[in-house]
Amino acid sequence: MSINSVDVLVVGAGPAGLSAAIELSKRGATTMLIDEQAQPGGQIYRGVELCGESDRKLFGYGYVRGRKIIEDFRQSPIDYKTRTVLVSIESNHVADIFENGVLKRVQAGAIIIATGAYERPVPIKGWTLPGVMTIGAAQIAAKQASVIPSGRTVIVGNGALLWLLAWQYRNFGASIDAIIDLGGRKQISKLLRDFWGFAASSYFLDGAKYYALSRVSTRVITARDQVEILGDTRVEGVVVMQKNGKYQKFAADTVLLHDGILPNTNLLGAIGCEMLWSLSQCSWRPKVNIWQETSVSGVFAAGDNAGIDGAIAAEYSGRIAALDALRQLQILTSQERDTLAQPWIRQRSRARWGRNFIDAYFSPSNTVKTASDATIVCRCEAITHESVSAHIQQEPRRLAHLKSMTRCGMGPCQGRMCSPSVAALTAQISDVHPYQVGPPSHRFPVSPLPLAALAKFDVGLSQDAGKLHE
Amino acid sequence: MSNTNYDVIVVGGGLHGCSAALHLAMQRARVLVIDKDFSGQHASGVNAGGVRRLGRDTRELALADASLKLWNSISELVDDDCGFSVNGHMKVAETEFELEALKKRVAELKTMGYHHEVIVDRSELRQIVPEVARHCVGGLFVAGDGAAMPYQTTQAFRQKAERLGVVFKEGVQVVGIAKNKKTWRVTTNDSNEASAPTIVNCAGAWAGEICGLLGEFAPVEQVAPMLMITAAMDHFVSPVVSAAGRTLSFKQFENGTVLIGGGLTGYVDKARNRAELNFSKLAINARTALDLFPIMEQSKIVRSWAGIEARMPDDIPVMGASSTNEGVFHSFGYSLHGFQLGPISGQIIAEAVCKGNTSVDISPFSINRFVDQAR
Repeated sequence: MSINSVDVLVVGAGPAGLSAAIELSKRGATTMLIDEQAQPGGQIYRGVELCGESDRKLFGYGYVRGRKIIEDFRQSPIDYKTRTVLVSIESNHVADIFENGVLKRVQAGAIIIATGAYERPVPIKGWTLPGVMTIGAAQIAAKQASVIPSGRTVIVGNGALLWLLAWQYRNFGASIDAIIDLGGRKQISKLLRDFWGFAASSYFLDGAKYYALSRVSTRVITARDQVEILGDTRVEGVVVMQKNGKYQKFAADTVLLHDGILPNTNLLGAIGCEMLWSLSQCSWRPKVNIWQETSVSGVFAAGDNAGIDGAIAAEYSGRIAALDALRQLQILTSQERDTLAQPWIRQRSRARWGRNFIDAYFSPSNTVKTASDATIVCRCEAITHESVSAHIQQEPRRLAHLKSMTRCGMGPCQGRMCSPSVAALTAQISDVHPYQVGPPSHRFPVSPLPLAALAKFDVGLSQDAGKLHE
Repeated sequence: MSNTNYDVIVVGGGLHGCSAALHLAMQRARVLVIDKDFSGQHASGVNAGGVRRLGRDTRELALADASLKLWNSISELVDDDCGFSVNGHMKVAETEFELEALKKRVAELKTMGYHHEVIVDRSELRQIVPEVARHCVGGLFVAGDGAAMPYQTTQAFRQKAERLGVVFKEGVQVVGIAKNKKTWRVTTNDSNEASAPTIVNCAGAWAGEICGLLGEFAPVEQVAPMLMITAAMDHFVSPVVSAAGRTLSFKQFENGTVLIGGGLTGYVDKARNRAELNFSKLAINARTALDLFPIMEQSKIVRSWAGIEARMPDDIPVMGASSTNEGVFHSFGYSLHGFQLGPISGQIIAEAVCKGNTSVDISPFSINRFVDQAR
C-alpha cells in the first residue's frame, strides 16, 4: 500500500478546520481535511449548506455566517474526506485515518486538530432514560432534519447554548413547557468586572436577546438543589426538590439537558499534548502558543478544542495555525507569517471579548456533586455515583488511578461522558482543586475501530514481524 | 533539606518494588519506596495480567512454581484477591509441525521433573476453546495458570506494604547515590536525601540508569509492548490463549471485553516519558486474532496502549546482589513476563537482604552474567 503524503492534515470541518484548510490551500500547501460528518460545518454550522434561506434565519445570524466559509471551502483545492476519522498519530506526523471502512496511512508535514467541543455531561438521576437528550443533540435534529420534539418538552440545565436553543425552538413554533435553570448564584462583583468586555462583544446584542426573549416567554424555574428525571422505562417528568423537602413536578415527554460545553481534547490527549486547567471554564485544554501550536511540535489545536472561545475566534485561530504551519513547511518566511497574522491575532482577541462574562455567568453547575447514590456517572460501564465516591474516599488520588480502579473512562467513549464528573467528585470529596486530579488519559483509537479493518491495514511491514523466532 | 534513615530504600514502585517493600516490611525492615512517577503507572499497571507458567524459560520455572503458590492464596498475603482467577493458559498449534515442537517441549520438561504443560489434541482443544479456528490442530495447556488485574494487584501490594509501615514517595526521581561508610545516601530531584545500608533496584525500564548511578553495567532495553481491547462481546473463551507460531496473547474478561496483545512493541518516547503505539504492528496482532478466532470478525477496538518496561538481551530477569556494590540488590528486567513472578520476587529479595541466602536458586539471574559486556 502506498502512503499518502500531504503538507498539512486538518482534522475537523468546523469553522476552525475549514478556515485553516482554506488558508493553507490558498498559499499552495497540499491539504487534506478529514471529518466524521457527511457535510462540512461542524456542530455550529451543521447542515447550513442544505437548509433553505428562511430556515437559516431561524437559527440566527451566527448560523448564516457559516455559509460563506463553506462556499470558500468548496472552491478551494482541498482533499476533503467525509465520514473519516483519525485513528492514531505517531511521531513525525504519521497519521492513520479510517475512511469508508478502510484504514489508511497519511504522512503529513503538520497536523491541525480542530475537533471542537462537546457538552458537559449532566449526571442527574434518570439522565440515561429514553426521551432524554442533550441540547446539542436537539440542535443536530433541528439543523439536520428540521426535527423538533413533539409533546411536552422540559429543558434542564445551564449555559449559553441552552438559551439559544430555547430561542431557536421558539422561532420554529415549538413549545417548551418549562426551563429548569440550574445556573448557580451569580457572583455579581466578578460579573461586573467582566461586563464591559461582554457589552462591547459580538455576543451582547444577540445573546442578550435570546436570553431575555426565552426567559420572558417561557416558564423558568430556578433550581439550586436537586433535580431528578422521573420515569421507569422512559421519561415521564422532572422533579425539582428543595432543601426544605418541598418539590415541584413537571410532566414531560422529552427532557433536554445542558451544562455548557468542553473542549474536545480526546485526540490531543492521546497524542500526548500537555494540558492546562482552565479556571474560568472548569475544563482541561491543551497548552498552546500564540500560533495555536501544542506542546507537540507541528501539532496545532485550533478552535474550541483549544478552549471555548466560540465560532468567530475559531476561524481566526484556524487561520493563525495555518500560517505557522506554512512557515514550518517553509512556504512562508517568519516575517511573512507575522505580517499576515497581525490583523488576525487582533481579531482573535476581539472575538474573545465577552467570554469571561459568559464563562462566569454560566459557570457549570456540575450536577454530579448533588446527584443521588444510584445516579449513573459512567454510561459505558454503568458505574454509579455511589461506587465512584467509595473509590475516591478510599484512595483520593489522580484520575488515572480511578480509571484503573473503577473502569470509569475505559468504555467506548473513553471518558468523554464521565471524566468531568469524576474529576468534580474527586475534587469535592478529597477537597482538592480539580487540576490536582489531573487530566483524563486518552488512548488511540479515540473512537471504536473494527478489528477486521485493522487486520487489513498493511503499510508494507514484513509479514514475519508477527512470527516468533524460536 | 531533610535526611531520613531507613533500613532499605527501594527504587521503583512497580509490582516488583512494592512486593520487595512488602516482604521486607514483613521482616520488620523500615522501608522507603521512591518512584519517579506513580506506583503502577508503567508496565506493572497496564500489562496483560497473565499469571502464566506455560512456555516459560525453564530457568524461571522453580520461581514461577513458588510464585503460583503465593498467587493461589494471594488474599492472605495482601488482603485483596487481585482479581486473580484460574482458567488455564492454552498455546494453540496451527500446524502439525508446531504441534511436534510443543511435544518436544513437554518431553524436555518431563526430564526436568515438570509436568504442568499438557498436550491437547484437536478435539480436546475444541472442548477447552470452542471458538478456535478450524485449522488449529492442537495445543499445549496448563490448567493451573490464570490471570489477575495488574493495576489492582500493584495497588494491593502497595497498600499492604503501607499498612506495614512502608513509606512511599512518588513523583520524585533518584538523581544521586553515594556511599558514606556503610550507608547509602540517595538524593532525589526535590533536593531531599534518604539513607539506608541497603538499596534495592526495582526501577524496571529505568533500572539501567540506576545501575549507572552505582557504576554498574546492565544492558536494559526499554520496550513498550502494545495491547488493545475490544468492546464487550458475549462470553466465548475462558483460558488465556497464545499461539505456537505467532505472537499473541488473547483473553476475554468477565465483562466481555477481549484483550489482544502478545509483545509486539511500540516506541518508547523517553523524553516525554510515554509509550507510542504503532498501528501497523497492531494490525499484525489483529490479523492473528482474526485468524485464530473468526468470531472476532465483528468486534471493535475501543482502546490500545503500551506500558514501558525492561527487556534483557537473554529475556530473563536480573535478580540478586550487585556485582560491584555491597548492600545493593537488583530485581528488574523481567522481559515482558514479570507479572506472574511479582509475588515471589519480593520474597526472594527480602531473603537475600535479610538472610543472605534464598529459598529458590537465583544464580541464573545474577547480574554477573553481563560482566564481560561491561568492559
